[in-house]
Amino acid sequence: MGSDQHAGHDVVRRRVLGALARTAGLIAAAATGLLQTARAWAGERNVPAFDAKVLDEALAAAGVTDAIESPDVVLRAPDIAENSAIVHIEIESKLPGTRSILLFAEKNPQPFVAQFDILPGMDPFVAVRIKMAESAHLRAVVLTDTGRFFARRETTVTLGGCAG
Amino acid sequence: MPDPIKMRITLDGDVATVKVLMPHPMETGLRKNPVGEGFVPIHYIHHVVATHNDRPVLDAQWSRSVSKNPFLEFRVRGAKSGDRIAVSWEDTHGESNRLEARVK
Repeated sequence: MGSDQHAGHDVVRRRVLGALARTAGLIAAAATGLLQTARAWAGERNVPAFDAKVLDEALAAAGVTDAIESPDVVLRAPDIAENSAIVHIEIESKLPGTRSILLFAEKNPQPFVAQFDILPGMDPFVAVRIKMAESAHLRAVVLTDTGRFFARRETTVTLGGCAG
Repeated sequence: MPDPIKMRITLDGDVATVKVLMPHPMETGLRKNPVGEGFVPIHYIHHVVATHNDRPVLDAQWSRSVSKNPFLEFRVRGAKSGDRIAVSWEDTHGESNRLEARVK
């Protein structure tokens, strides 16, 4: 079999895959209805990362294992949370070109808590309230145009349970 | 029909600070059923989108670890009085909700 034939197969394969991907994209866009406008702008849900049961697996699935600790990622959380069902978290990035903010709670049954994709026109800041299964490290990871950075801090919960 | 979203917007210069409350049980699937056997089924908001004058500014994917009746705060740059800011969510049951408000 000559190399020309291989090249021909590759072209056909790429066309077919491209068509399939486009069709899948259209179906997904139609199915999301209300939220379809944003789909074109931001990433799809990273299901393996959200399903991961331990922090290392979640970080690996999210592709942020190699993130560098940075003082330009500001993670605000209480030192002691009296109600583990409502822990107020603020994350701010001072890094240019911030595209996403990811939040992890080390000891939660699924440590990947949330991903915020920051689109043009929004400040790289979010505040959200989360549940914590027990005292744990919280980790905020920021994805920028040039790299991956993180901040972490320990939050102690005095009343346990992720059930609430 | 889920309870309506609540939104408060404050404008400081050209930055609109948006605070949102989304009434929702955010069931983890780990809570014992208070009036029966087993556990309350999992049911949580997994996707949230915010727009500024119909242009998406925030696209968030959430887990069940976000608190009941989720609170979310974010800041929109380049905002002015009269602009429209909307927040919509979609949950694991396929339910959704949306609220649009104007910057005062």
